Amino acid sequence: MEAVHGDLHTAAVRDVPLEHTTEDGQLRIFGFWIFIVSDLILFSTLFATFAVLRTHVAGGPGPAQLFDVGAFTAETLILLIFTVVYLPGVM
Amino acid sequence: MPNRSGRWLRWIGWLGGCLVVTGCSPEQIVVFHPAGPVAATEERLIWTSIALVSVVVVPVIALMFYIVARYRDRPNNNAPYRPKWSESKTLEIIWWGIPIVIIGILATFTVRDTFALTRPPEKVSSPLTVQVTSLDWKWLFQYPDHGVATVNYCEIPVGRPVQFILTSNAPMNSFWVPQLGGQEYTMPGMAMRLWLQADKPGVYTGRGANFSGRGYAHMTFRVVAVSDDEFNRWAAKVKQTAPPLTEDGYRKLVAQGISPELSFSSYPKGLFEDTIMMEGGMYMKHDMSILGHEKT
Amino acid sequence: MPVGVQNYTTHFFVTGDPLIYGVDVSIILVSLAIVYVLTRYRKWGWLWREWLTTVDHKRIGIMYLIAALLMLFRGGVDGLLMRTQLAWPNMHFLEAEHYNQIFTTHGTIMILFMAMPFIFAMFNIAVPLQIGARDVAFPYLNAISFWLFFFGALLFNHSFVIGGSPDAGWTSYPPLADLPFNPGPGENYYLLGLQISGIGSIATGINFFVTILKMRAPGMTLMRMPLFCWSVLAACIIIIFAFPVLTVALALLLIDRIAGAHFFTMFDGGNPMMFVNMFWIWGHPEVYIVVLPAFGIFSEVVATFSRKRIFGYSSMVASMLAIAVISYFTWVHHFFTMGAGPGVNSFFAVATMIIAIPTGVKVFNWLMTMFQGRIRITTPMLWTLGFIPNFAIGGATGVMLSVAPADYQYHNSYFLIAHFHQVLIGGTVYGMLAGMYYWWPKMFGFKLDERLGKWAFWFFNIGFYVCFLPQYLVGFMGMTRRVYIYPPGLGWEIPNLISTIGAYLMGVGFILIVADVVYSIRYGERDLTGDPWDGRTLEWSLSSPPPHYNFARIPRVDSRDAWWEMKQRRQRGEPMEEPEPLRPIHMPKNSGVPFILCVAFFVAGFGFVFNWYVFSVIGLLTVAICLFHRSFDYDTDYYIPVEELEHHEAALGRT
Repeated sequence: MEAVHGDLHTAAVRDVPLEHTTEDGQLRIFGFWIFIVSDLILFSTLFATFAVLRTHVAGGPGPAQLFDVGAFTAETLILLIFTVVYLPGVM
Repeated sequence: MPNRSGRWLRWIGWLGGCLVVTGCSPEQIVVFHPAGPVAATEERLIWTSIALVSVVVVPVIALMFYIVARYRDRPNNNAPYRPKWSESKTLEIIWWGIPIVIIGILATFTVRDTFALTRPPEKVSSPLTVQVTSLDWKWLFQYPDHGVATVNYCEIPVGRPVQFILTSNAPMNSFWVPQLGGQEYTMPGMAMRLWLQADKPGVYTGRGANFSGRGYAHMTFRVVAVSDDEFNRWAAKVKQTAPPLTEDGYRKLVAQGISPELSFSSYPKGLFEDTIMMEGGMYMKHDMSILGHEKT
Repeated sequence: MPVGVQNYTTHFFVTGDPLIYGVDVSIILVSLAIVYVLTRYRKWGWLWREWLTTVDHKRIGIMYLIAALLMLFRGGVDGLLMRTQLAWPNMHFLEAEHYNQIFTTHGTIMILFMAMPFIFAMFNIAVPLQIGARDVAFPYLNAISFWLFFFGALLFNHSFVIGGSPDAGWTSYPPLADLPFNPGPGENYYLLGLQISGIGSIATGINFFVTILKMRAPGMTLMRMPLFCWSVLAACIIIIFAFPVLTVALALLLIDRIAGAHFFTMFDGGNPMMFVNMFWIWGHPEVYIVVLPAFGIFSEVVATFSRKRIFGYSSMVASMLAIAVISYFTWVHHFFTMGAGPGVNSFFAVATMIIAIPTGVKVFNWLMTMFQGRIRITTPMLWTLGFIPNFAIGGATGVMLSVAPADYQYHNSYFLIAHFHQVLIGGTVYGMLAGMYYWWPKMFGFKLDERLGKWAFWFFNIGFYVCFLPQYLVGFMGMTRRVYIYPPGLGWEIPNLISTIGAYLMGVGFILIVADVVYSIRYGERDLTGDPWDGRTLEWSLSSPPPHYNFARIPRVDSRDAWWEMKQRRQRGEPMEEPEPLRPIHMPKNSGVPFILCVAFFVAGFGFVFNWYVFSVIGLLTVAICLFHRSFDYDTDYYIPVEELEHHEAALGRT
């Protein structure tokens, strides 16, 4: 980072996406990725809890009785694929 | 100066004297007075680890005092001063190396004994089984081989491995009899095995070691180690003279409160197993196998 | 009064204890006094403009520091109350209920509301100055972090007088902490107070991680960074990876308690072990979060006061990163006795021992830094020297505890208590106090009095050993933690009495520190040079206190100990570079929104504590509005013009 600190416009270069043109913008994008890392941990913990407790239904109905598991899995996958398709659009 | 240090010495002597007078005798340091093979193994390991860590700690502290005395910023200090000296491969290899060796030795002992202590201390065809349930705020002991139960005390035969099967029908606690060996948690919905053995007859104090609420400080119990004959006589006597533990009586035990020592000639069939099943044991195949194993 | 209302008020306010009435009265008096002083001297506007709305890292650091000292006082009083109760067998100074509440709040406050803000104070005070930056990466987020911590701590402390304190231990294990065994709002206070301040901690972790990686002065490569910055970087990595796990654990337990779920309950399929695991997956790294910055401070202090380069810089960096990574593989050592099996226990025992190796290496490197140096025994250095034997013993007992079979005898005993106080006080508290004395002149422009500081150190240090060494012994005698009473005849009396005396000596030490601060505000030696200790790193190149923009010109760095090298060059009479012309400086604007946002969090949290969801909805809506406002607020920054800069610099006597 040779950019002069705090100067909003020095890093502005043609061919750089808009959000990368200021130092502020660059910092935010980097910070956001780090935030995503912490979110990954958070969700892994939730998934781990689910893995441990998924059979602990105390005699009540399980997911198979409550939900249409096949359908919501497919729906989730479709949603996720859309976000992947969205990526090339913004890159 | 000598006057001052003399006074300090006298103070230390006075304090030491106090310790003896007030009956803080070495026997009261229970962890260092094992009465069975499990506690003895653990004590040996404790001394080993103290010796090994001292190899680093004592020189470090000595070195610090030496360095501070030698390199103080005083006008006439002629000790060498090398402000730019900040790297030495040899030295660094030494102090990465020494701890690695020490930890290596200690780790070997640790792993060996960790596995050893999950097995009975001696090979014996018929270990005694005692089922332990921690309640709010008392201990229930059940003897599946004799059909009797006790509260807040238990009798065991000397020289015979005892497997304590631990669970809880209250917030988790920990079963600890320091002179016989280390503790293990009592967890609701789980059955955990702790091997202990007493080599000397005597009364050993045990206590709940994991905080479980208001009455926790009062969760002490006695472990009475007696000869085989005496143990059998005791069991027979309890069988004949003590009242039975009914379902209703058990519910009263589970209710929060402190209890005196009690004995029961019988208890509801499958009480221990059912308690565990109800609190989540059905999801723990491993724990159920401990119970199954002990039945055969 | 209608019975309903009466019933309600007696449950809302904690009643029936003279101690708590005393606190009620003093809270009211102190609040009135503050309001009076602020009104009398017309300081409300000043408070709002200069402090409550500030986004300046130095001011936020100072607020963290004040909060940490206040919490150290509260946690310390808790500790003294406990020691008083335990001074002699069968004491009836406190009953079980109160004792349980007090050790719970003592532990929670000391770790989360004392140690955490103390390290964050040091992060904020030193990191931007050391790397030659004008602020942190996200100043606005930094203000939010502080206020989240502040209102989280405030919410937690309310439990003392409103509704009742939590009493399930700072670890708050279910099923004890779950609703059937723990009705009432106390435990909710714990969960929400920690949750709210925890969000702030994650944000601080991200903020300083980005700051250190992206905002270093030109020429300051990672391997030229001061070691304190390295320690902060390592701590931030741990925060980012560990705190989300706590967030989940607390959230699930809260859902158990207020929404009737069964994640950790005893019946209906709950699994309490899951909480214990999650708690310590955060809890063990947390220990390193609070101790690594202390290591960083010691490294700075040792080098400065030995007038020597830090020894084995790369080794120091490597060991801190190794600690950060290995700290994730040791959590099971907090419950070897939970029946995980010999294989698992062996793995975690060995991993725990391995973490002692890099820690030991650091101690040797500090010793070698002093070796052949010129040691000045100032107060910061004294705390550092006090730390070394302390941590050597604490580390050694840590290795002893990691020996799994032996741990079956130490676990939950006073041996364990003595150990973790030795590393947490000897490590973190000594480190933070060293840092406080070290950077105090930088923050406030005057030094703390050395004579009083040394008295404070000796009282605290001697008191520490008197307090905690007997606890190792009494642990071997079978005394378990968290007992509020014990019978005579076990040999526990004398060690406990000695320990209590030690605790009071530490209390005297703390009072002397406060006295030192008060005395020095008036009489402390003023620091006019900006470099009172003959320092080595960039913060000492600035005036004390530094201007709000920190550096008029961002320094260029070409070695470690950049300021030391500059001074050396100047001494040798080498020609200085012509200073660049000043340029306008881009600065963030102050904002009241972080404060309002966190008040809203407080209101929402309070609503959840008492299940008054109207408050929660209002609070969370306000949070959403604040976030929305920020998203569309484009008036967030300004430029300081060159004339103003010249004026400021001239006033500071610098060109």
